[in-house]
Amino acid sequence: MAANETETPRTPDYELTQRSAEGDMKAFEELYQRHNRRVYSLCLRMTGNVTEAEDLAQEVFIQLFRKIGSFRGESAFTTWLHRLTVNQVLMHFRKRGVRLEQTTEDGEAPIQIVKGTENPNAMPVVDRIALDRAIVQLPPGYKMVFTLHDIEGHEHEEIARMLGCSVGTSKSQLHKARMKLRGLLRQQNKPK
Amino acid sequence: MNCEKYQDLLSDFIDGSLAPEDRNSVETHLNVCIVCSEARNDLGAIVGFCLEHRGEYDAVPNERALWLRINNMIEVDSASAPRTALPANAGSWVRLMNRSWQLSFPQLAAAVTVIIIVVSLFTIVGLRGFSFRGGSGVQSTNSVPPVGAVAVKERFRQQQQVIAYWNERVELNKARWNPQMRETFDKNVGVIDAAVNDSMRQLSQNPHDEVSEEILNAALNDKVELLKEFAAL
Ligand SMILES: [Zn+2]
Repeated sequence: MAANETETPRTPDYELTQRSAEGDMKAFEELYQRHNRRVYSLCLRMTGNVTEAEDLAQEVFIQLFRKIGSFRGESAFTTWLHRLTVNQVLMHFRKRGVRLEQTTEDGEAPIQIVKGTENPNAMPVVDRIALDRAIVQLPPGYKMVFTLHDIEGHEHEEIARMLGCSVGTSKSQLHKARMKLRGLLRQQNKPK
Repeated sequence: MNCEKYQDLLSDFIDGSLAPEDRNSVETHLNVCIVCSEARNDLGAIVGFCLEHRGEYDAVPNERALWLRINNMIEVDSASAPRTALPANAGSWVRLMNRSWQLSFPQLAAAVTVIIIVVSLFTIVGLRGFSFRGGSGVQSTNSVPPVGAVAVKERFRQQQQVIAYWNERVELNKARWNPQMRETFDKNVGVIDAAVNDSMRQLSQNPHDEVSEEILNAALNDKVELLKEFAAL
């Protein structure tokens, strides 16, 4: 199900972007082959829906083709593509009237602290399926920050830039996301 | 500090971004508090799992089929609108429109004539408007770095001029519309205006918000398209 995309590329991404900008579809296809899983996975985590994720990934690559001439190689291509993907996901949410800040700021229920030493439902060992199932249930803003930071490994400064929020907001949302995930994973463990 | 305050610091503690004195204080508390240390362990397990599996991605259900769809779309795209393509999301509101009204043949013929006239007028107005941009052309804006509030406002102002022009054309025709058309028009203008206002508000708070900028551009383009369509009816 999961696959690794870090095979050694023969032609640098940058060269492929240049050729794609000149209309070389073979070069663009190569870029697609290299990066489609990463793009798709991010879309999938954010939407929790295979069809929506595929449609979004499709849109990302169409946008990528349109904008590829403006990639100057000053950052890694993956970072640039990732930003493009995040933008598409954000637009997708906004078009559907979902606002990150609505669901992530004060409107959110406070994190419950379990009192006492007894542990009615301990968190199970984390596995991919359980975690993905829990991530899907996060509010969009939490989901985005958690995916970008913990799953993709971006720094808060980068995330803040991508999402147009402050570093402090990114940090506090990450913490809330993790706490919420913990609660969701514990719930999954609850005996039926 | 109580447990709640300590738990607020747990993510920074795990990520190693706490100041040394806070770090010591959290550590001391974790040694004596089972509840908080359990929370630390759980968060640590989540973060650790993600780190361990970083770089693993889900495969697209049908990679080849998706590529063919993308390839097709790009071909259609470049065949229909070579270099002045609107952002991909442009026209989505227009596309969503309920096109249930019917045109009679004379209406259609009149509409075509009006379209030809107004499109040429639009081209003139458009060229004038866009010449302010110093040769950057009509291309979608997301490819350039965020240009700041001033440029956004300037572009917004220019677009508003174009919109004002089309609005006048639409107003002239409105009396002829049936209630259903009027309703469709108002509904769509409402959706687009909400998107415009929303993006403007976002941009005033954060001038580097590229997403809002893109949405604003798309919405303004959509508005022009919508007005153009209805000006011809
Ligand atoms: Zn405690």
